[in-house]
Amino acid sequence: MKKFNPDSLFASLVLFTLIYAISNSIFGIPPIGKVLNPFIGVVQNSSNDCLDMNLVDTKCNTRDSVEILIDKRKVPHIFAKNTHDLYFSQGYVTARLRLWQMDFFSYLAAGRLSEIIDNPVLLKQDRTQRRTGIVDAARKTLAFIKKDKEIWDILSSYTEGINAYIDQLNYKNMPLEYKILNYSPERWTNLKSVLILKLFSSTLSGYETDVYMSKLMLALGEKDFNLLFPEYINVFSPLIPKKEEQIRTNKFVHKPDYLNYNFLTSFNKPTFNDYNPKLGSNSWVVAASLTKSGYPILANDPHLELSLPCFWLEMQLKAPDINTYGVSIPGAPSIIIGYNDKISWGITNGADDNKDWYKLQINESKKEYLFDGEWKKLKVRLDTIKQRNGLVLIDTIYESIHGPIVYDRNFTADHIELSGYALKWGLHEPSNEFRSFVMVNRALNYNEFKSAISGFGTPILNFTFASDDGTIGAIHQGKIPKKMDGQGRFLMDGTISSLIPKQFIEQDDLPNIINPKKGYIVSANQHPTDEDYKYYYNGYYSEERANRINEILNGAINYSVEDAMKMQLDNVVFSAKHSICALIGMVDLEKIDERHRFLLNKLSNWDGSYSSEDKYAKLFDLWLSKIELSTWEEFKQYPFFAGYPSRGVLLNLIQEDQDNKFFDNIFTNERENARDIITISFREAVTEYKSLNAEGNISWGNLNKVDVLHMTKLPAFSKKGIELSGNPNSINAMSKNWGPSWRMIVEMGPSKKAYGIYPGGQSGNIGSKYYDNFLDDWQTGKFYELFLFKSKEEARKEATNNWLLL
Amino acid sequence: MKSKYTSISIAITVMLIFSMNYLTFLPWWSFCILIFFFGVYTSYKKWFIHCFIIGFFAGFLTWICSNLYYDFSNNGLILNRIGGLVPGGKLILLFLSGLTGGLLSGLSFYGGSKILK
Repeated sequence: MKKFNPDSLFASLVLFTLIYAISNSIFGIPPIGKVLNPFIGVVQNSSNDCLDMNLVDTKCNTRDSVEILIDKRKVPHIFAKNTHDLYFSQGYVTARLRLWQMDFFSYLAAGRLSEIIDNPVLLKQDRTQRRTGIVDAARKTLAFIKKDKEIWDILSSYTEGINAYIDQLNYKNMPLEYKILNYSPERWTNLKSVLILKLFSSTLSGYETDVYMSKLMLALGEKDFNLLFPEYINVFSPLIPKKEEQIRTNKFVHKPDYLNYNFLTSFNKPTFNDYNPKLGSNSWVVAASLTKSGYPILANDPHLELSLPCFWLEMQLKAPDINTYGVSIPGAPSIIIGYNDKISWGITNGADDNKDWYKLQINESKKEYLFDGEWKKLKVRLDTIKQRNGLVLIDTIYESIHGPIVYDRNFTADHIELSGYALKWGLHEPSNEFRSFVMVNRALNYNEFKSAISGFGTPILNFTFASDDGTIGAIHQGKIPKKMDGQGRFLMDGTISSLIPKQFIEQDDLPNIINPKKGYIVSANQHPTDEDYKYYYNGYYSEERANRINEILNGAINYSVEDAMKMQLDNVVFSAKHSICALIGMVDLEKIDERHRFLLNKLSNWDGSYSSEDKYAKLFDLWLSKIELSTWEEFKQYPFFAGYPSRGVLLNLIQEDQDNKFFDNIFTNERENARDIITISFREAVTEYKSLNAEGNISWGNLNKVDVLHMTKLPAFSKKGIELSGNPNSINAMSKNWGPSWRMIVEMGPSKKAYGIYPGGQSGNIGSKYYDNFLDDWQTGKFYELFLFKSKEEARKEATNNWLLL
Repeated sequence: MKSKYTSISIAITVMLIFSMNYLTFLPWWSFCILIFFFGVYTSYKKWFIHCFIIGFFAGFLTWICSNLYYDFSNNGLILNRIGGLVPGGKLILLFLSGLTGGLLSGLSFYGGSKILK
């Protein structure tokens, strides 16, 4: 008989240590024992792509059977027999395709990223996120939605569907990112869906420049401030046309009485905002009278950060009282942009300023603030942030009647100038945006559409509309506060109640338009109205794209889907096209030499188009930025410098007041005018252009490279350096990392023709061939045909796969 | 005779590792226990084989080949992308997986075979 050998324990000990070590993440390295394990590890994430399979899921507890038909492009078409099953299936399908993405969004929105990734930068981001009050707002909104039984049930069905999928997951089949980051999916909740909508809202309405504008108002004085930072520039095409009678003019903004150097804190550092003001969208609707088919055409392309997986997920939802197709946001029920049997709709960012900072006077105990002459108690809230490393951070957040104090002496996060200010932000208000989208999906005419969106509060959006009956329309929709002139452009005094807007613009007074005489509607983040609008409002509007769309549509006849496609890919920058002649005319030909004249001549034939093969777009770009630099050189003197006046203002000044003092370079003895600045800038631009040219290809595409990054920013999962046409200010609004995130064109009528494409793919799985398969076609400007099937039988003919939920 | 036992034990070890494909409800390292007991059995039966080398060889091969199989059957997309995360790319990744599988099964087999004297 053999005996136990104690020496052998050493080998076993080594074995156990090894197993323990590679079962866990060490120094940020994923647990290799699991990740590289061929039977459960990452390699399993590529096997059995669900989009290529026929599935029968019997664990779903749907009330009736649901058939989901997957078409050639892997778009799911959901056919349910009741409302519960429809949204249950939407949740289920979305989770199957994009679970990690939507889960990650919910962590991001809730300020919980530190729970999954150990990183001090993320901890700071989490704290900021929580302190801005988004999570609190989401909870209030959830309670508000709970009172609306119909929507609450829909939201709950959606959650149920997601959880039905999550419950089937084990290590082997859970999305790859969980394995790499070494955590597991948690069950979905209705709150997570609300958080995702709040995140969307914050992305679109987070930008503001209150600190910078306040400092500039004091530094420049009222006159110069209004000249350089006007509410309206001369050339603009508002969403709704001018009214006959002028009710009021919003032209001149006065300095608020309280705004002086005693009021402003003296921290002289640049005040950058973390949000991107350029995220916007185009949408236009052409009336039946101008189209070839005799039915309206609606086009929409929202510009968002380009990411993998894409922000959007395409699908069709069909149940007895609803049949709609379009893109949805993973994590939120219903279709956000799309069309149904009778109507189509689009959205663009309203771009209004709905975020203000109030300076509080806080007493020495740090517990009370002065409000209308009385000391009021600050609300105190403790927030617990769990971290990956097991530590817990308890954060104290104070709140006044205006909103949370985001930055204080304990947490300045690079925004010391806003320390002690309370934030009032439109998204803090509870509102039920889910109801709007659900009802829009079902709406069959303009009235139903209008009443569907009437409760839509935040973010402020322009909704565009077209229907089979020939109606076209648009509404600048949201809960927009009634403000006094100039209110909200600057930091506000938090000690008086009169500066808090108490009323909102009534629904019927919101800028809206239906069947305009000119036969088309354009919405591209421009001013919704002319100066004569009833109420004062302000925002971060861009006029360029709207001007260009108007220019093309003006005089359009026999307008077709192909024309709309061409327009969405249009690379012309309106102001460039229309200012180039004037600029060239102002160059002093005696002060430039032969090679300058050669290039100047080339530029005179340039049409303002930033297409990828264009060789002169870069020259113009360089020229304009040099002009900008030497005109506004005095701005660099300000220690708080954070940006120049807009290009519209610059080009206007060049054409109307060439001897304006701002053209004089304060660093030279001579007095320059616009002509001098333009000539000198051209010479400098040519020098830089030549050296760029010597380095290689000068074509715009070669210089305009776009990155579509995976949400973790890991380069291995991203597509980088895609050569593209376009410019942030052209209709084809393209930038380094954001651009047209969904292009859609719908021609209305009994047999609708619809087209669309987004940069990405339907699957969120890095190991799937449907992860980024639309990207190449998106890059070359192709469109896919979209199918809103009327029946299951019709869908079956086009389907490659079939999922059945029982 | 020894070479016969060597090939038999390689085959059995490979099978034990591979059984994890069907026993996914167990912890991922359960195959180590199976191999460990197989090691005990070989020493009881006095097979006198190089347990660590055999275990390592079987583990190395099974993990690399299985990873390659699943990867190839799906156009090699997944390991190409994951390979982008490590210097050296896909090859290093495969080697690492082989090394892990090899060490685990080698140590288990060896540990099992030495437990009795």
